[in-house]
Amino acid sequence: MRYGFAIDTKRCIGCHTCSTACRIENNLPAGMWWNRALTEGGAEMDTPAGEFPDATMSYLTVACQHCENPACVKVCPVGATYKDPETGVVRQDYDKCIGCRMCMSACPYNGVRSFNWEEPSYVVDFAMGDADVPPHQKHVVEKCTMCWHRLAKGEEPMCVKTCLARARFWGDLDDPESEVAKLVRERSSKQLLADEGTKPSVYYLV
Amino acid sequence: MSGTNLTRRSFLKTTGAVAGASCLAAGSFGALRAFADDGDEKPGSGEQLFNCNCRSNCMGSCRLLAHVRDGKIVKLSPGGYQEPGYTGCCLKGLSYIERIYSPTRIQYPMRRVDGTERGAGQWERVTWDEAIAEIAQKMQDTIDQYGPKAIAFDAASGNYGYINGVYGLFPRLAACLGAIKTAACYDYAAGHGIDRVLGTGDWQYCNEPNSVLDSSMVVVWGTNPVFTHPHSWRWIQWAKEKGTKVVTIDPIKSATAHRSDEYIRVNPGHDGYLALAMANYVIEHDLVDWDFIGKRSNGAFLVRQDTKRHLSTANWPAESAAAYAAAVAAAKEKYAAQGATAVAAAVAAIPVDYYVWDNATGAITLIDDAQDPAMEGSFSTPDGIALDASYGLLKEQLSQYSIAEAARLTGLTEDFIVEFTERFAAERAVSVNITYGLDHFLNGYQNTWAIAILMALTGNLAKPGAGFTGVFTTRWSPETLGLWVTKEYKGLNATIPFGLMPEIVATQSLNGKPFPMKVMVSYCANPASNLGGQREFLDRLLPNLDYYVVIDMEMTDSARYADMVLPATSWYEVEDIRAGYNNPYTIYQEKAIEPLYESKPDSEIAYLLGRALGFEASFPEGDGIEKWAAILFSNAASKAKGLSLDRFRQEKVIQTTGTPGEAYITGMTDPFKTEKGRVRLYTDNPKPRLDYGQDLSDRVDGEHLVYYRDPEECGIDNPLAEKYPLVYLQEHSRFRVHTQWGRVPLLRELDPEPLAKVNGKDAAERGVTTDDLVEVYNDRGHCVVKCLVDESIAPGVVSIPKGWQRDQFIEGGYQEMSQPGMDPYPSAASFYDARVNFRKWEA
Repeated sequence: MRYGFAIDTKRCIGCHTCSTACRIENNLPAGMWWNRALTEGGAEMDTPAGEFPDATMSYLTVACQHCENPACVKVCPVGATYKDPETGVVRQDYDKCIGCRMCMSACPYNGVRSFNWEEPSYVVDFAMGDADVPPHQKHVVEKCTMCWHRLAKGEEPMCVKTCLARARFWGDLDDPESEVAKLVRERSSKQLLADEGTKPSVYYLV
Repeated sequence: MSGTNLTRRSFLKTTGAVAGASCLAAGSFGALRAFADDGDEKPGSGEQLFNCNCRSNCMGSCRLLAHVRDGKIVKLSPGGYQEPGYTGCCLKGLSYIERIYSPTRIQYPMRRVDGTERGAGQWERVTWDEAIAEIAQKMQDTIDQYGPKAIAFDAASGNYGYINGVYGLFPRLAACLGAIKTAACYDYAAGHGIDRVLGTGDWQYCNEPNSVLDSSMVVVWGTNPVFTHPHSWRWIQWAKEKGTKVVTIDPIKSATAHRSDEYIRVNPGHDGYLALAMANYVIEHDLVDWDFIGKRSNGAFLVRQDTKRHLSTANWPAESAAAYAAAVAAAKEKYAAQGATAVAAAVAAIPVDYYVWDNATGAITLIDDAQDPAMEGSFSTPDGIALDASYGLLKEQLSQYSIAEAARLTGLTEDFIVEFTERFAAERAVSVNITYGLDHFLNGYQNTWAIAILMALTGNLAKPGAGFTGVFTTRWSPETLGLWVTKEYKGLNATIPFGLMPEIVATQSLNGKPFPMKVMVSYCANPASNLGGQREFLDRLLPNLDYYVVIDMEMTDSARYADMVLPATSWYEVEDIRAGYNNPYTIYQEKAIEPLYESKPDSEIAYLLGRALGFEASFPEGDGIEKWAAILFSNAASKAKGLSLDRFRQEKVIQTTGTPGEAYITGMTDPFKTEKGRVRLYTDNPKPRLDYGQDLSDRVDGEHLVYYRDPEECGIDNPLAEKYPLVYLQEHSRFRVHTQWGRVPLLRELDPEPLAKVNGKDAAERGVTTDDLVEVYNDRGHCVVKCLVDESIAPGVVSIPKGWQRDQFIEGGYQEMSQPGMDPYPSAASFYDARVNFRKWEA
């Protein structure tokens, strides 16, 4: 079994709904985003490449790629980041993490991991999101858990559940009958930094 | 997105492509099953779920589920609909939690400290009793000195709940007082223009969003659904995957234009001319859909040269005219006691039939009896009334609009306009997706009127996939008037356009006659920030108003300038009901949590004020949603659908428009409410949206036939272009709805500050680049803001996304430069009809 995503870039409108749903579901601290809608175009959000009127712009949502061959796992000195053998989800054990941030430097996908330099702070004074999300800790690296707490209940990740453009698909890439496997099989797709050999479990349908 | 390396995206440039079978067609629409909703979220540990809905003035109205744990809303998740294609909400809906628990939320009533300037930010906390007593006293003193019409209740679109929103209990209070309930002036031009052809009133012109699946072409005209109604864009995207061509016409390359098959760039403000030149080409090159025009339009109706009205049984022959006049008089007498609306409905119900010239008999005959009605030509009644056929008049009118001039005004080439017109006319079914981009000019209603004529001539109305989309609204309406009229009713004066308030208050007159205006209450509204030409509000309205009350959750621009601020509940703190926008449902709102701090629902504030002013009979103790809902559902339309509060409490969401599994098509699902159900190529009786006594005598004769008028200020020929070479647009962003969500911390991480978006050429000419501070200015005002060079913006345009509050700018505000003028027919704000310049800001 290898859980993964297929994200239809023809449908994605960069609306940040997945990012926002993730942020609330996982009670992320202020300033932290596990999943981001990046603009493929100009240097700033929602700006295009090229000159008017021929300028072009599209979007790419980027979070942990839950690689089949994760660079982060190899460098973690304490086994805090590991691949779940049953699902292929790349996990992060906050209690084991010693905050060395080796995983952050090894991961080729810039910005998908965050480090809590300080005690996490929040806009509201109570925990938002799902009660089963583990508390965030100071001096710990964290990232997308593929909504592990939801998978445990048989629910799909919140970013998939809430995708406004119906661009996000999730399932078992190893199951040829799964929707994600079919989409990856039938559509052209790309993976981020495929030549790094990380074998991401996120396919961007193009 | 601060601190998250958003722009460090080097890996994006080196993404590896994976070879995959490129069988787009095979996989594409078959995946519709994947859109199906898996079902609503289940409550998590310790959670209780409540059925709720988003109620701002965006182009959606999402059902949301509130997850409540320990008395706090910890999560909002999308609630499903029977049609899963409508399920889902955006980042604003989800992040509303941070509005409820906002660190800057207004917590208790506050009075401006005596002796301090309005807007100085000096507040003292008062009790509700003190606040209500003071407001009631100010109102009573005003009534005693100036009469009740010196008090105005202002609402816009901040909450679409039937009980606590813009339709709620404040109009009841206004009606008891005989005060002014001002008419909102936002977005009314689009519907006013289309009504000239479709008879669809202010709002009922659009087809259901799912109708685009049947369109062969979608023309997104001057709107940006990818940002502002992504739920509707979703249907357009699905249509696109099925092969529907998607074309966007816009002055800037919007996010929607980027995702369309074709982008047509036009100069702002001249779209109406383009549509009329296309319509003329359609006629001149016989691309007219004659079947539609013959059977579904009033093209054959005869127009009297003496009165400019259709020859009908209401006015000809004399004995028929006399019978009609008598029937009108009788209806007026019978329904006088029930008010002007009832009289108008009764008069409208008197049957009238229309005459045409029958070529088969060479005589005037009623339309249904004619074998070969003449579409063109001049005729005469036996008693000598000179007549012209409507289509012929339209044809003659349109003949002045040339492809060459359309090209000059819009910046398109003549060849392109011709080619596009031929394509448009040849399409099987065109859906024109609009909201209010075309509306926000002084010629806004002429723009949409022209497009409606083009759609009529090409037969793109009242059939599957054809017509307008973008603003699909409920066709069921509850009995709101019943909610407002009580035994203590003195009058509901609801025809004063809010956009005239600066002029009225500054001059204490209307139409040149004295009109004292002293007290204003704003609820569900932030007029200081939403009214075009902000200095009109700040410099003319405010200083001449004795007392200003604002009810809100946040210190908006308006609240900051108030004398008394009252804390409103959030949508999730009180039970309510709203009808959908761009879906066919009406949705129930459960009370998910107790009102925070000292906030109160609008209905309770109206109740307290009503009782303090002595209207105990209209605001009796114990009144609540049961009683108000019973009134709302008491009309025939509600009874026919079996609607009741109990049903909403049980079912949570009810389809109140159209039929499940179908797409509601205006003019097909229900007939047009026009003369004989035919679309109007000639408008028999053009009326202003609001009659506030304005003099239209020099306009009325010209309002029967569609025509072009240059925009007030932004047109290419406007002499102001020399001083202010750039047209000023306020694009609507993903991160706010008008001025709502402006202080949500989560959203401000993504979109931290206002930006002036400009084209690189305009920036270079002025020696500025991204992140420089610039002053955007014209004679009306200015703001100082960070510059963003954005090649989606055309040269000659500046866009500052709408909704930032004044304290979020370095100086001034985005709304200072916009157009304050309105056309007296639609009485609609014309924000974008404005020119500006910008320069580097040297503090």
